[in-house]
Amino acid sequence: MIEIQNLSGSLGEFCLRNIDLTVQDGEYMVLLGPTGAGKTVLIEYMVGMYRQREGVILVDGEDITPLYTEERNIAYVPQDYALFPNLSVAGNIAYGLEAKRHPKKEITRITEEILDALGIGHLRHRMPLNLSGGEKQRVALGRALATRPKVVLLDEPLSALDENLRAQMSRELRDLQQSSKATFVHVCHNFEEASAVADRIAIMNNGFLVQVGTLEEVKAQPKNEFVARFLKTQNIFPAVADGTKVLVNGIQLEKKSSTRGDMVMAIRPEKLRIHPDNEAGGLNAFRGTIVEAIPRPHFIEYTVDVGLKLTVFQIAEREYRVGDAVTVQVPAEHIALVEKV
Amino acid sequence: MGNGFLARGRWWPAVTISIALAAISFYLLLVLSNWFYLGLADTVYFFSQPRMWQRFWLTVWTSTISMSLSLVIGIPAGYALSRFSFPCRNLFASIVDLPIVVSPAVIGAFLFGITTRFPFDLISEHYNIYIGRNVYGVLLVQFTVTCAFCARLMKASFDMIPPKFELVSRSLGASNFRTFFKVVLPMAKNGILASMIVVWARAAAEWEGLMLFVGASEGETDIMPFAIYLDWNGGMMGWVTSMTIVCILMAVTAMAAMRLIGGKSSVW
Repeated sequence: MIEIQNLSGSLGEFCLRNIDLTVQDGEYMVLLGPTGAGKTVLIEYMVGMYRQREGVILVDGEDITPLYTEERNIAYVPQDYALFPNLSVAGNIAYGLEAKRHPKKEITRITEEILDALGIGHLRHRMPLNLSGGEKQRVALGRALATRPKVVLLDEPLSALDENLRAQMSRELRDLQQSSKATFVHVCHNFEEASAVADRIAIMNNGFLVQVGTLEEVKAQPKNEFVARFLKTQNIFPAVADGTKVLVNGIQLEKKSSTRGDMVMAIRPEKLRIHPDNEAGGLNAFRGTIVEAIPRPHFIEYTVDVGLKLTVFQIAEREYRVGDAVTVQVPAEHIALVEKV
Repeated sequence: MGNGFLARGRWWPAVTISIALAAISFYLLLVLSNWFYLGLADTVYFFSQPRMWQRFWLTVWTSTISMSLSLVIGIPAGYALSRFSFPCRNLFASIVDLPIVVSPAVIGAFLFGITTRFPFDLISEHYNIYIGRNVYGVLLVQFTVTCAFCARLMKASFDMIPPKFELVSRSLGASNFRTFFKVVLPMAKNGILASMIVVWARAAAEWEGLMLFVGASEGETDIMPFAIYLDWNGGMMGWVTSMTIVCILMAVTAMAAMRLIGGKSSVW
C-alpha cells in the first residue's frame, strides 16, 4: 500500500501542495488532470527524482522518502518508455535483474518468462530503435515488471500510440496489472484512457489533489466545477439551491438531497433521457425542442432547448430531428450541486 | 532536394551554393599551391626524411597522451556540468571556458609563471622532473589547452542524453556508477569518440603556447605546427611546405573520422 501524507515540494515556480493519497495493494490508480496539474511531478517524487519540502511517502508502512531511487523498489516507465538503445529487447528486460545481481540462470529464466508472457519472444534480439510503439511499450512494461517491484509508475504510457492501439494496450495494461498483482499508478490527462484501466482515479489541478474515488463516484458527485468540467459533464449551470429545490435560469428542478446556497449544477449528458413530447411527464420533465443532433459512433448527441440548452447523449433507439418537440427527463438522483471554482 | 528543403526560386540556392564552392575552392587552392610549389621530386625527398617522421610521431604520441589525460578529467567534469547543480557551478563553467576563449599564448605565459613556483619548483628539485623546455612541457601545454575544451565537448555529449534514462536505470535498482557505465557512456559513445578526435586534433594543432612556454628543442618539442613556425623563421620553405601538407592530411583524416563516427551525435 502506498500512503502519501501531506507531500509538498516546489520545482521552480511550480508547487505540489499538501498531497494526501492512499493507493491500496494491487490497485490500479490513475492520476488524472490537465497539463501542468502536477501528475508527472508527483510520480517523480514517488520514484525519488526530487526531495520533498514536507510530507512522507510510505510503501507498506515504510517511509521511502529518505531512500535513493535504486533502493525504493518502485519501477518507473516514462512517457516515451526510455528503452536503453544500446541493449537488445532481452537486454533491456534483464537490465534490472542484472543490476540487482540475480544469478545468471534466474535472469535468463525470468527474461524468457516475461518475453513469452508479453508475446514478444520473437523480438528478443531486436534493438529498441527497430520496434513499433506497441512493441516498445510491451518491452518497457516487461523491463519494469522483471524485478517484481511493489509499485509501477506509468507516465502517460499510451500517449505515443494511435487510437486503435491505445484501446488494445489499455486492456493489456489492465490484464498485466491484475496478473502481476503490482500496484500501478498511471498518469494521464485523458478521461477515456482512465476509464479503461482505473480502479480509482485521483484528479489533480494546479499542484493540488482535488478528488479521489472510483470513476462512477467522481462522475456522480464531482467535488467542484473544475472536476465536473474536466470529466466532460457538459450540462453545467449556475444554480441556487434551497433544500431539495434547485433554481436554474428560472427553471425549478427537484433534487434528492438537500442543500442551500449559490452553487453550480452539473448533470451528465448520458443520464438525461429524451422522450416524445406526449409520452413523459412528472418530476423534472421539461418540454423543449431539439436544436442540434450530432451522430457519434455509439450514440447521438442532442442539444435540447428547454429554457436551458441541455446536452443529452442517447443511444439511437429512436431518432429525433432538429425542430422536434420533445420532453427531457432529468433524474433527481443525477443532479449534482458542486462548489463554484 | 535530398536532406535540404524546397527553396523558393532558383537564385537563392544558386547564390549560397556558389559562395560555399568559392570558399572550398579557395582552401583547395591553398593546399594545391603548396603541392605545386614543392613539386613531386621534393615531396618524395622531404617525405622520406627521418626528421619529418620524427616530428610526425612526436605530434601523434604527445597529442594522444594529452587527449587521454584530458578525457580522464573531461568526462567526469563534463558529466558533472551536464547533470548536477553544485555551488559555484556557473563560475566553474566559466573557468572551464577560459582556455577556449583565451589565446593559447596567454596560457603558455601563465604556465611559465606557475611552473617556476611552488610546488613545481620543489618537484623539479627533489624528483629531478623538470617541466619546461622538454616534452613534458609540450604535454602540459597541450593538456592545459585541450582539457577544458574536452570538458565542454563532453558536457555537450551528455546534454544530448535525456536524464530520464538514468532515472529509469536507477528505478530498476542500478547504482549511479552502474547507470553511468551501462547506460550513459554507451549512449554518449558516438559523441565521446567524435569529441576525442576533435580534442586530439586541437592538441596536434597547438603551437602558440609551446612557443612561449617550451621553446624550440629539435627532436623533443618540435611537434608539427611548432616545427612549421620554427622552419619558417629559419627560411626552410621546403620543410615548411611539406609539413603543411602532412598537417592538412592529418586534419582531413581526423575530420573525416569525426564525421563518420559522430554521425547524428555531432556535438559542435
